[in-house]
Amino acid sequence: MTDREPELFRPLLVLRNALFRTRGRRARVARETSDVRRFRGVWAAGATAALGGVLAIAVDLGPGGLRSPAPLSRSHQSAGLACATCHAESEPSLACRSCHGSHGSTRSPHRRLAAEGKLACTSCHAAHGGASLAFLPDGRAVHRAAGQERELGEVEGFRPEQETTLPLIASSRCEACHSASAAGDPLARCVSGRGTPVLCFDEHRSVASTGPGGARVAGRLPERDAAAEAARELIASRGVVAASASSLRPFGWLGAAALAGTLALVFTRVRRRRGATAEPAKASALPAPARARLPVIDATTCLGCYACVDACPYDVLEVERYVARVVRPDDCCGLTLCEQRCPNGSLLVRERDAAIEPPLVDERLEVKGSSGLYLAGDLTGVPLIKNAINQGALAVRAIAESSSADRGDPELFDLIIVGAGPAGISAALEAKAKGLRFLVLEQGSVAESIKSFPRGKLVFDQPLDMPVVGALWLDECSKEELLGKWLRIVRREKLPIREGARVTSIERGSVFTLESVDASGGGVTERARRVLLAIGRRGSPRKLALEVPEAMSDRVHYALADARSFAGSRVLVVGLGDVAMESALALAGQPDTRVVLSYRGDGFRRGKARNIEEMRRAVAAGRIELIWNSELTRIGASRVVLKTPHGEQERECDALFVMIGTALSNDLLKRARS
Amino acid sequence: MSWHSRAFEAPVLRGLDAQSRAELSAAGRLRKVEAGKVIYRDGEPGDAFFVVVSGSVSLCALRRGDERDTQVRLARRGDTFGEEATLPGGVRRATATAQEPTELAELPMAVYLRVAGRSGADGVAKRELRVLRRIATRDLLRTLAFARDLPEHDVELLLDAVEELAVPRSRPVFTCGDAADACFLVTDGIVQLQTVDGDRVHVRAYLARGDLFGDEEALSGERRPMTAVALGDCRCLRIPADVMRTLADRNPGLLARIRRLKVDRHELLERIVGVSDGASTQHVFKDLYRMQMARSLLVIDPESCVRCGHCSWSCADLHGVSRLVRRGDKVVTQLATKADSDGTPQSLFLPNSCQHCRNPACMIDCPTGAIGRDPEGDVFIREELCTGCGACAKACPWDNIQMAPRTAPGPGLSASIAVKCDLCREYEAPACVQACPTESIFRLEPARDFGEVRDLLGAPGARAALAPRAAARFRLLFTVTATAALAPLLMRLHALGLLAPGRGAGLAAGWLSGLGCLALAAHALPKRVVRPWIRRRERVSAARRAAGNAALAPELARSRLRALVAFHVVLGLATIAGVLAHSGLRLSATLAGALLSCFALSAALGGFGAFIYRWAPPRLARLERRGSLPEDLNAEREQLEDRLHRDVSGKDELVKRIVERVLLPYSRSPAGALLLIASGSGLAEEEHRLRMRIDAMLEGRGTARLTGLDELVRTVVELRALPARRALGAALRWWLPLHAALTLSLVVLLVLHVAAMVRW
Repeated sequence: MTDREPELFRPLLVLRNALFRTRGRRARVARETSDVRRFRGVWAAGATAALGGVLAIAVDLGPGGLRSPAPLSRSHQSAGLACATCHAESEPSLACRSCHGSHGSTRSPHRRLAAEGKLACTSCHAAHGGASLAFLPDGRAVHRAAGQERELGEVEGFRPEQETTLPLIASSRCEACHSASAAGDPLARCVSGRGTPVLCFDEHRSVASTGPGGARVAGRLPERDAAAEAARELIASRGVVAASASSLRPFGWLGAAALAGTLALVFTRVRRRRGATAEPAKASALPAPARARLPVIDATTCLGCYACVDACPYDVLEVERYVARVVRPDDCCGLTLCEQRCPNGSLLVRERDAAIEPPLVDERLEVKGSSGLYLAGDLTGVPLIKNAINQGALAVRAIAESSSADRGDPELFDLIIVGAGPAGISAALEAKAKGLRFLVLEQGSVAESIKSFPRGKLVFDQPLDMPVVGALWLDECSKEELLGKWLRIVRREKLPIREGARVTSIERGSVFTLESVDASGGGVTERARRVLLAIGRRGSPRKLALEVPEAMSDRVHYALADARSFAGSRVLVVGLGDVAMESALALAGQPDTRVVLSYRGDGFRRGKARNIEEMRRAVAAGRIELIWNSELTRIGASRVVLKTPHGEQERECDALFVMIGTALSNDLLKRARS
Repeated sequence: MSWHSRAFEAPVLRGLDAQSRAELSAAGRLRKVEAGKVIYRDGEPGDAFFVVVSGSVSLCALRRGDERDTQVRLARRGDTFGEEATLPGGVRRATATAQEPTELAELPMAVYLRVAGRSGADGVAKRELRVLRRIATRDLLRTLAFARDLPEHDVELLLDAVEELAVPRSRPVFTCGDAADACFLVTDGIVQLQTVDGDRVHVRAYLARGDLFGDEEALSGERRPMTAVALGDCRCLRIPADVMRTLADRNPGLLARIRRLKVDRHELLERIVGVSDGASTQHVFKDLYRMQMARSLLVIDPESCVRCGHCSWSCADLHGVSRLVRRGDKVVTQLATKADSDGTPQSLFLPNSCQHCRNPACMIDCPTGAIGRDPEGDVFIREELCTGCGACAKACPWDNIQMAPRTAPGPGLSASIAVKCDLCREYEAPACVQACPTESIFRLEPARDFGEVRDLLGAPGARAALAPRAAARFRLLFTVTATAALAPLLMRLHALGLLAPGRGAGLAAGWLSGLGCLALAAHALPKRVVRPWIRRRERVSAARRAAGNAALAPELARSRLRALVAFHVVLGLATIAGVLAHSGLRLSATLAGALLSCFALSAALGGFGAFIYRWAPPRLARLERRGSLPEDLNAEREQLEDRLHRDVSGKDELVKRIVERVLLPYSRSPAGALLLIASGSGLAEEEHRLRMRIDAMLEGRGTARLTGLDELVRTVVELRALPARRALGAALRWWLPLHAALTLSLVVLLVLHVAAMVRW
């Protein structure tokens, strides 16, 4: 390579987590987003709010409230006036005289203006929204404005015989003509705060006690003056009493309207949501099929749309020449996921002649013939993670119901769960929620079957339309995400899981007695009223019938947890199933790792098509050395000896992976039932 | 309805069973064409080929060196024509004119291959396609600088020796470390050369149609130094190394020419893409394939989008189910559309909405041919042919198709069908674009409108121009200032008694304000009642199309609500002035007072809304990494916390202590979100600031142990930004329903008030 090469290889762009979405396995279903839902019920809420507001107003409105700009003053209200009384004439000021009599101003300029018609009663007085100061016989003074009252406390020196009201005129009314700040303006003397307050209670001549219309006016002449004096003192001592015409009552009405509107909105939304979720209850766990089943495809109607291929978690089906075909009949688990997804009914799941073992459990997941013993998960014959989770939760619910009667001996567990895989963890969560006293015994580590999936493996959550029962989380994700979430849940809920405890026997008497051995070989006995077996069908990994020397004992692995830790080493993989192939490929992808794969057969026998294709590419590219028809004969320190048709070969080996399958080593279930 | 059996007598359609015939009849079209009519023109794209059932069609093309069209072929009964356009990226090679009244069967190629393949009758078609591909490759080679001058004999050698490879999306052509024995020529699609380092991908080159790669190590025999990944479904020609060597021996200078081309190309790429010294997630080139494929990409400008969701709502209103979901990636690019673009990169959201690919994966995967394509390029789904199998939804690389209940259910039909955006085919322009109140959503063609993509892929076409928004801003500012100045004056006049509600100017102001309020309330009508004003499209007749506009560069669709919204705001301010003139600010416990208080609240909310619509979107845009809806934020919080826990495990002790002492309190501080909003900074700036803080704290110690800290800082900053996003989103959303409900009450109260007053 010449000097220009490094330039050509300088990166243009560094992307983080650049994942391309490959062809997905499920079609997205349209869901209503909040954008579309946002304004539902707002019309109804608005209309109800309007109605509520109008009602509140109708109930609470004072007289004259409909048309007047402000509520009528108290005195006018108590006089029983209607709108027509004053507004029948074009000029309301003329109506004032009919009750109050005509009393002109003491000031000649004002008298002149009144005579010319430019100054009327309403120029200064406001029948609506005006303010007044009322002196009660018991000595209290009250400030009234805009329909509201405010107590001002006791006033000394003035106790009228009847309630005496003095109208308060805001200085802003005067400022239509006068200016408070101009020097020499007579208004300056009237407005309090500058020297001696001389408020203009002296605008009108004192009048006789009753006017023509019978209105009570401010008492007799001396009382009116006394009232004015008291008012001046009050205002001087308390400050200017603001004649506020505003009130906050309309906001009260609006509040009532808002309440009505909110209730309507909530009601509409809740009713709609309840209507939406009123779906028929779906199956929460799939029963194990009674007979072996296989999909049967009508090639004349099959569209080749891949719906069944995508639905099957075990790659039983493939599309060849645009028609679906069963390519791996032995892997079929007998569920009808493919049949449900076929768009035109070309695929039906039919029973084969071969009979399989009848299901062990009844619909409550209790073993038939052994009361108190329950099964959940893969052991029941349905190998789906979601089903295992659901069964774990359902079984514990059934257990909680059945054992609710007897709670006695504190030494006894209500329930022991054997196995901490998906079913076991889900059962533990449900047991904690139900308040049972329980224990989980696990031979390896929590969720070891998931942990042993190769790095980055996608976990699917079929069947898609079956909801998850219970508190355990499941969604289509990578194995690491799933494991992380589950471990966090286990830690957060502090589930009592005992790892490394392999149950060796279960005996029944009045209660179950379980013997287990821990890692050091010590035996522990536990007793429980109920037992839930969630041990799966995986069993333990099969081992090679060879002696492993001390130096290699911790370098023989049965599962690949993290390929990165094997970068730069020489590894040998035994086996050619899916697990072996995926592990070999993951190891070969690490820099500087040399991978040799030894298989006793002479061709690809089993496994996913994609794994086989990638293996072929890797072998052709020289990244994996695949030795057919070979068996291990000896394991030494850092090397192994293989027997091949061409003779014996030695290979250097830093780590040995034995991936030849698993076997149920002891038939715990059979013995527990007997 | 199945076609008559005469249609199936052509050799290419023989051997099909009844079901195949039914499927072809449903997916294809039987056309009767009168003499002299043009069926298609040279240069048009097409997905279907034609079989002549009866009559004859003349194919004319302009041969090189000639001046007029010559007849290439006459297709008679049983002949086929037009297959070459059905190859990806292919166009019609000739103009087809009917010589006499002709009956044609128009068949989509993808459906035909499928149907024929099932019956085993696709041998002829496959061979034909192979020949066509060879012709296309020869034409491609003639355009390439290094192969243009190769002698004919060598070109034939090359064409014979190559093997066609179809590489699906995201699969490697070769992997780093593989033995190299061939070089590759890209004939369709984009290949990305990259090296992977942990979870970072270093992109070394983008290769498009006509680029040669993998030659150097093939000729020298070394192992592949990089991985070549297909960014989308692509086709390559695999040239064995010995053929390449032979060509190089016989044509001295070939290798040097290839080398020079690569250097030139790399320089071009570097100039356009730029050498980034940090890791970028938003660069427009992170999904270059998408940019090349999209003929009409829906983008949202996050700095002006007010997250009201009206686009989605109007789509749902017109079509039953919203085909637009405001979730999606964010890209940063230089838009080449603004008339006065100054080259600043702009971030854009790409929501989940069909982008009408040049080579639609959904159309190819549809088993019944329900997905078809307009001559203009719009991809649409025919409901009557859809079986609800979901193959298209699974095939779409960007998750733009979804399954929704059928609008016209019936026996024997599937319950759900696939729906996707079809650019509102029956309407004039897309409803979402027309209904956006701030004109933030529009459809662009990345190859033409994104600056870098255009430079790289070299697409022609006039730029579309977007109107600048500056003028609107000044208008608004003016009105606000005018009202703010008027208000105290009017209130003073009222206090002085010069203005009274019952007479003269005050009364006139009252009437005007009343009308203004009604007009303000009526703003809800064009917003919520969308069907009347989104007009149906008149179908452009083929004759008009043929007459002039060969390159139908569609005008950029504009929003029709934006002007209304601007008018609404201005009218609102004017009405406030009018109300003040009418009644001052005197709130009393009467009907008039209730009306005024209702108006005041509504106007205050409206004012708040106008303010927040201007202020919040840019801040929110800086805090978001992806387009998301408010209901996604809870799940996002969980995801971020999970990510934090996952990234912390396995890190150095120092990093863990930093997390505990600095990062976790930072993400949990209650005022953090407020500070973030107030400072108006973006995520990158905040990360930088936090990193500076940590560095200052450490004072240079232990820098070697800090691997992985960057990711943790990122996650923690996003966690802090979440409540800020939630608050800004809520502020943007929640004032409008209140405003609407208050305005409704306002109208009712107004009617009552006027009725009470006028009764006199």
